[in-house]
Amino acid sequence: MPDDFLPQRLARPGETLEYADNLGTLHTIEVDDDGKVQPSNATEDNLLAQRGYPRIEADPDGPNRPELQERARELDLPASGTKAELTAVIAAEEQRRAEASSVPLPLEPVGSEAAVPPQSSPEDASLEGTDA
Amino acid sequence: MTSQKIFELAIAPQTAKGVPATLATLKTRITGGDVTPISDVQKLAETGSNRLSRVVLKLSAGVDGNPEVAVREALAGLLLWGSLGVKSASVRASTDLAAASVIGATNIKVTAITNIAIGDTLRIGTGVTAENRDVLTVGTAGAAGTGITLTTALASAHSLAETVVEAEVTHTITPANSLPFFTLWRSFGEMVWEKFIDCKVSQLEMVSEAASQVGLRMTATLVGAKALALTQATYNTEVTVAYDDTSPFVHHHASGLLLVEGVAVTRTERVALTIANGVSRQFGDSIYADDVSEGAQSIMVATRERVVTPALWNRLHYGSANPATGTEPTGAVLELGTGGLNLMWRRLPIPSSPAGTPERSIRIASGSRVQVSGIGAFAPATGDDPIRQEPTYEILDPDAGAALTATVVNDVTAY
Repeated sequence: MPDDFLPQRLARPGETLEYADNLGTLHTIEVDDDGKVQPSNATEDNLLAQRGYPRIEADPDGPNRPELQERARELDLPASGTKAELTAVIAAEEQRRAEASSVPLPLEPVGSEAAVPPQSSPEDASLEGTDA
Repeated sequence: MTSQKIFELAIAPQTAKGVPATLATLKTRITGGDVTPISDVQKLAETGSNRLSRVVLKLSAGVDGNPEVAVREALAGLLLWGSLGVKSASVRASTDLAAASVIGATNIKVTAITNIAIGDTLRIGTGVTAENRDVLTVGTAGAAGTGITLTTALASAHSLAETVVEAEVTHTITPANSLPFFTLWRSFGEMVWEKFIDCKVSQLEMVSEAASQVGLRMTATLVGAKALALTQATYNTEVTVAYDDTSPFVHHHASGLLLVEGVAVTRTERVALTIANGVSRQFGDSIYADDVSEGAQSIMVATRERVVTPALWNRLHYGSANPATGTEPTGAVLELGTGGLNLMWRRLPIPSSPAGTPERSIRIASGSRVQVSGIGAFAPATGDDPIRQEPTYEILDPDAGAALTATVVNDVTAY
């Protein structure tokens, strides 16, 4: 089984575990801000199990998605999920924001009923879907 | 002049085997024992024209020893990691004052509230005006934020930008199949300066005894691959760290904190935790070891208690705490039930400590499987002595989770 397909585990956010392999080389296991960690081999999987960190669904796309997590945070979206999930949520939010910003500007002065666009406001739009 | 009583040991973890650390991270005084270069020297089994040997060979060299040290908060965590294998540390909150604060203030403004939680102890300021305060509430950051409310008022004024850091770090240490390598530095008598590389903790024994003058002490059996001589100048360049001179732990810091199946065992006169790793040198085509490897692990806790109940004795020998008349010895091995074995040395602030002085502690919690491997002599009372028992608990490989979890609360951000 490829290392990337080992199950993730839920640990304490920000925690770093340090251990030595059987050649004596020190390694660290980093836990992301959401408390998720993907062991890179069976030894790490065992060490995390000993800590009582429960297994969670494996990320088939691998753990390398920090740029997606950063973009999700920029968009005020939850930064957890698989690479595929993050990609989909970010794309949907970016599309929603693009559509919101393309709403026609009011043709009449502010205060006129005709100036109120039929769609929801950009603020409302930014709140929608954040729990996707 | 030779200062024969000056005897210190410094230590630092190595990033890998064969890569000696170049700077010690912790230094302590040695109270007994030693760790030294060793040589295996043997006579060739032949004689000359007389009955005397003519040839002596040096077969191998290495480092061995079992120095004893007083247990202090920083060293305890490092040696427990060395004997167990995996460590992690809580993330320490660190920020600074977003506004000056005055004497008597119970609220401080900070530039960030990241990792600050209710109940945390914060160290506000540095130097002689530094003070520790517990967090009552956590508000918002910034000079105009609601800040951090403290349980007790400040005793000193603090300026803008003075540091605010969490005063406690919790290190969690659990077993692994491989142990880290350490570099050791040893100096004695202002005569000899040495560096030992590729060392592992073969055994760690923590012992505390009632009314003992030496308090809680650790004896680390260290096995290393190679010793190097140093000049004093080099030694002084690599060992710049200050002594860990925090207050040592003593036996009464564990008062009431030995729990067997969740029940406190009082009247404990002696506690000894032994973590044995069976470390040995492995040789190739050199007189120096090319590896230092672990064997099977054994973790045992032995206590000496004044007896107030025969329950443990009866359970061990007859299978129940209150056996009926005629009950024969049980064939089952006694394993502890829920709660297992917990042991903690907790150094509470002395009465004159400033409010909010953080506690320091060393906690040993067993996993789900602990066997009572013996109870020693149920010594009859003679003379003025009370009845004592000396149970030995063996920590076994659990079905799930860690066999043992050591938790050290101290002021070390990371080892």
